[in-house]
Amino acid sequence: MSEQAFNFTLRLEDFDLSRLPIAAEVLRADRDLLMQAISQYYTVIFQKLGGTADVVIAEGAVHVSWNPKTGEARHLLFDHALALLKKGNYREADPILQSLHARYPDDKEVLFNYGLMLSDQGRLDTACRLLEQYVEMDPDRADGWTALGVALSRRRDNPAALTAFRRALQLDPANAYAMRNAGAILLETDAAEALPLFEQAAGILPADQQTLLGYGTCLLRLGRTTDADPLLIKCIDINPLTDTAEHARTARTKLSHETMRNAVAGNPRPDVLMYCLSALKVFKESGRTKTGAVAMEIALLGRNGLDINDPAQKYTLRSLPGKFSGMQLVSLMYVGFKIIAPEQDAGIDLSREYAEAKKLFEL
Amino acid sequence: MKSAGTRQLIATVEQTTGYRVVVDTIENIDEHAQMISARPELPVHTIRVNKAKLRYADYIVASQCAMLLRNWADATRIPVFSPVPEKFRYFTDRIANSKPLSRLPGTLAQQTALRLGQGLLNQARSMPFEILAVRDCWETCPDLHDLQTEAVEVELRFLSEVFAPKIRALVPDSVWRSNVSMNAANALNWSELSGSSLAMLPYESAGFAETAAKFLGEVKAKSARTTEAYTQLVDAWADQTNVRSLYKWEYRNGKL
Repeated sequence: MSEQAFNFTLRLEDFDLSRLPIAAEVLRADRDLLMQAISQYYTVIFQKLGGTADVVIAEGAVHVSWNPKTGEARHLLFDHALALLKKGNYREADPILQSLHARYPDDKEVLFNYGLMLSDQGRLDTACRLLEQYVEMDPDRADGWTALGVALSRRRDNPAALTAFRRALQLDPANAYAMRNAGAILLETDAAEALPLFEQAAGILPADQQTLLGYGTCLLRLGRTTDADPLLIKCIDINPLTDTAEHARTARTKLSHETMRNAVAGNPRPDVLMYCLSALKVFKESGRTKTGAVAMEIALLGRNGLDINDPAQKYTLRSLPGKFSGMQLVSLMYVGFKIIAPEQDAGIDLSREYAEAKKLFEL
Repeated sequence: MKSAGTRQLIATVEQTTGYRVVVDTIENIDEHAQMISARPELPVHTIRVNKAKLRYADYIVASQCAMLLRNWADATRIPVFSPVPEKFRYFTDRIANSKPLSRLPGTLAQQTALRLGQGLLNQARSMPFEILAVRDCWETCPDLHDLQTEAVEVELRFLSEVFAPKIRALVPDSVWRSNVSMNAANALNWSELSGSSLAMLPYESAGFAETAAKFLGEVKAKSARTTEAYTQLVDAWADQTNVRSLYKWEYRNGKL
């Protein structure tokens, strides 16, 4: 047994009930259940770490005493929390960092990592408070200023956040995270000023989704759509199922619509109308099963991005003979979905062309 | 997908069923995801992850694949759950006429009864396979354990809201008991897998420990990957929750 136990006390009202797999309302209505749940929660956490743990709830607070088998409790706990953070396991890291902070309120490593985690979780007031304390204690660390800037910008305090990012860049001019985040703030008012920051950040972090989204959006604002689109595609490809990818997808969809509509001042496009009419004829002959197969094959192909602005017939399908342009395929897919699954979102609005084509088809 | 386990499950679905899996996103739904199983007109399995739950996307896709594999145990005989409208109507009328709904104005009582009845029937049909999917993913996707823990505990927290006094007071006792019994089996399953009995606390405290063991016992006993086990498991839960007469099984051939 180590000689020094790790003791900490936390007021019950400061315990975050969302950590438990039981509804907060239910716990608040049953104090015995609440105390049992919190006690069991800490017992499981500290017993997992080895050694012995005593958890007592008294006088509106939870008192935990942990005796590790070997080693120094603070280091063991901190290293464990850091390993959990690296895996993205905030759920388990949170109570350990909270207990470390309760026991060592001026520990710089705890302040920084706990502040970062709280910022990622959206608990921004506490995150800003801890990170402000951290930069006050260690004002020459660029990552501290960057972390504070991120928390402040998430709290929509953009002027203070920009000041923090600028301080980080003074200390470390190659800090790509500070560049990227400063760029995102500047982008709201002046895309031209944001651009060099994104260019530099993308050079350092070429596979960072947020950098690519910011860079692509910045280029869009500056009217450089041809340069923006490949960045947005790359941003989506890195991990298509993230909020960042969703933003990139939305930006691309908007871009496609604008490009398509701008070409004909908002009117139905004659070429698309003819593609839709031709699709209606093809699908009438081929039947529902074939229609589904064609529509799904195009949808799958489209996930990697179809170039609807290039009229060249450069695509082929397994389910339908011939060569097609991007817009031809999108029209086929749109009509196919309208026939087999009208509730499905085809991802592009060809409703005007489709309606006109149907009128002609039914003549 | 980032998770190797999820990628593996997707590959198994594609290999077993002969149809590709397409993952997409969707918004404005309450569930984790919407899954459209392949059919000849739409020859792909579409899993559309709720945009609000993208944090758990890898786990959500893995669990949807696990459920698909059970539903498609025999691709030539896929069970389709078909409610019988007239029996379901009679069932919801009974709920509407029982306390406390009988005290509400007629239309409101009917609407509430319909929602409760649909919820109960849907739970008896889907929760046994959600439990099996939790078990399958835990076994097949160790790289998802942290994410799975987070996702499952969020779900358990949501389900435990039935103990809130205001909900308890609004739901007829028989419906409430059936719902809680199924939730308890879900919580017990997670307690067994995760090694933490926290999720079971409210159910134990309300006297549902034995019921939970009984429902979970049925899941374990009927966990074979066959069409028969699939329907027998739903039937066993439906018997326990008095909804067995409200639906029938139909079968479809998934092969092109």
